[in-house]
Amino acid sequence: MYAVLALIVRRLLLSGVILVLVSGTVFIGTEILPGDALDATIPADELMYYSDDDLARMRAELGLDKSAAERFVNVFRGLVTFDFGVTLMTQESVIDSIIHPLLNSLIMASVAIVLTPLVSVVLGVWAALKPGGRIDGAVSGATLFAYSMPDFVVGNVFVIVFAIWLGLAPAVLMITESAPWYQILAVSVLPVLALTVSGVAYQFRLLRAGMVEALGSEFIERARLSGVPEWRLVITHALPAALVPMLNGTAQFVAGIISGVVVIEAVFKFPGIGIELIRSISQREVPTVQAITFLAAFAVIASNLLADISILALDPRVRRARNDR
Amino acid sequence: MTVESFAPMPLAAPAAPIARNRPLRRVLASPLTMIGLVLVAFHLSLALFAPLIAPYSISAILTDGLTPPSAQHWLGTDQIGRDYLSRLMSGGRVALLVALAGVSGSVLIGTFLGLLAGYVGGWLDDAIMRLTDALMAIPELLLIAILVLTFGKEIGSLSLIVAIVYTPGVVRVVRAKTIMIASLDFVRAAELRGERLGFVLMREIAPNLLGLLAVEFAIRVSSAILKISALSFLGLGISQPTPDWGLMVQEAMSVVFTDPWFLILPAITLSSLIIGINFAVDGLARAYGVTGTETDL
Repeated sequence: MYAVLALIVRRLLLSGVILVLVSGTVFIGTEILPGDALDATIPADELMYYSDDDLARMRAELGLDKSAAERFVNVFRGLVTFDFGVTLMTQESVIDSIIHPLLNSLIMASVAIVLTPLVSVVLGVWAALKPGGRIDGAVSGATLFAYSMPDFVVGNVFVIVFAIWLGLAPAVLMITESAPWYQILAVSVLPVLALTVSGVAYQFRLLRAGMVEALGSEFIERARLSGVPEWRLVITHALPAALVPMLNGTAQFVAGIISGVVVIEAVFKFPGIGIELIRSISQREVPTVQAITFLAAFAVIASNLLADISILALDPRVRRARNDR
Repeated sequence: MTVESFAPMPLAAPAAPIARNRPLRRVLASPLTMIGLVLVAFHLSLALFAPLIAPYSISAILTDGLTPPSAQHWLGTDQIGRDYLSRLMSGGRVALLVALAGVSGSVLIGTFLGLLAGYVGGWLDDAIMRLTDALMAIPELLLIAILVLTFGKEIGSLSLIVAIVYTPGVVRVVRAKTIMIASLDFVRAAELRGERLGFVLMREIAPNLLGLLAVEFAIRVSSAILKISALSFLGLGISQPTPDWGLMVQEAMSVVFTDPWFLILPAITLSSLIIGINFAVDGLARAYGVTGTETDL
């Protein structure tokens, strides 16, 4: 028990270190090169109306006149304490301006994050009952196909099929940012389906590989020889071990869902954080971009930590292993 | 350093061709792999020769706005009146070029860093791996988008961005394989002979990574094409007047009710390129027994 706790604490510290490095990366990615928010927001033909003094004063107000090192310390301190500051142009709190879109996206993404592993496990078990069989071949081929489809193509195909041909759903969502959660949930059906397609494809492939390996291992052979029926062998004996590779891929899965959310929101005009990110990037609203990117990385790191802990619970071999990966 | 070079010559000569042909025969027998290879070949030649075989110039304005397919314009013309077939044929060129150039860079840098981290170990390994973890914690599309904010969206900048974004994944895979190979006897033998670090890395370990690197390269090229197209689709990447499938899908969304084909065609060409690469890699990797890639695709 003590060893497990030490492992968890170690992972926790490591996650902290990575988060610090992420904030450094975000800063370098958004602020280090010339060309600032002021250049981007003032159109070239209006620039002649501003005197150099005006520009300098505005830069000072926005904190753009400080050295890169000074700004880094400020940004860094803000990010790691979850204080994202104020927006450059309107001077309102960044967190207030993104909280509604953020919650909307969280509702949509969390449904997808719960649904995807469930579908993957059902498909994975189904395919693993007869490895190399017809069902296995069909599901494996279909998921490789789905894995290769761009998110925005899947989203648009859903729009064409469900909204235009079948008329089952509106093609463009008419919903405000601050709509109540049940309305957001109601319009999330097609976006969530589109998100799940590539997520399932990714997780199924990891799960199937884990299943094939687990079913070929000695502890399964022993259980099979002692007369355990095949379906119980697959579900209660092989599945827990086979979940490990899938859980190891959690960081990539969650990162994929977040990238997918941005694209899918653009397809369906869903009032979420992805639309907000695209808007703030095209307006060079750097504090908002930093906040959204940092929160995305935080979600990836936190879910990866949870997955690591679940692996400790699922696989006794990892608990006993001296070196952690 | 392969086993064959130690085998007695008279035996090796007749045995080698059969052993070497077996994976190739398996590739030819698998329909999915063949579909993949044909699609890749088709797209590569299309990207190379599109300007020569396209009926019109990609930027010539030939009609007043959108027109349906006709004898002059087989797929009609787009909203501005440019020949759609010609633009469709060239729509993958920039994304493919950026992906190939960028991923080549990331495979080179990633292999170098991965070899060092895996073989030298210690603090160097820790430093490289924590940086890798940090870069990989930011979702690829978001990382690409914020880097576009700083570097710009010209072909050179986009290639550089792809190189930065895909390096960490290559480092991880190469490092894992390097640690495995470094424990094998022939590497120990080289160390005991007193070979220098560069020799051990480049002549003993690196040749054994070639299969893995080929698979990594292909998987990441397909992923980079997806990401660059998604970026154009979001309006943050390749911009007008350059034809690009992601951008064409976005432009067609406004006319999807009346002319869905304008959306479906670039969606099909883009998807078929990605499907082609993934099917081909899947089959080739399985036939040649390459394992240890990130996704084991």
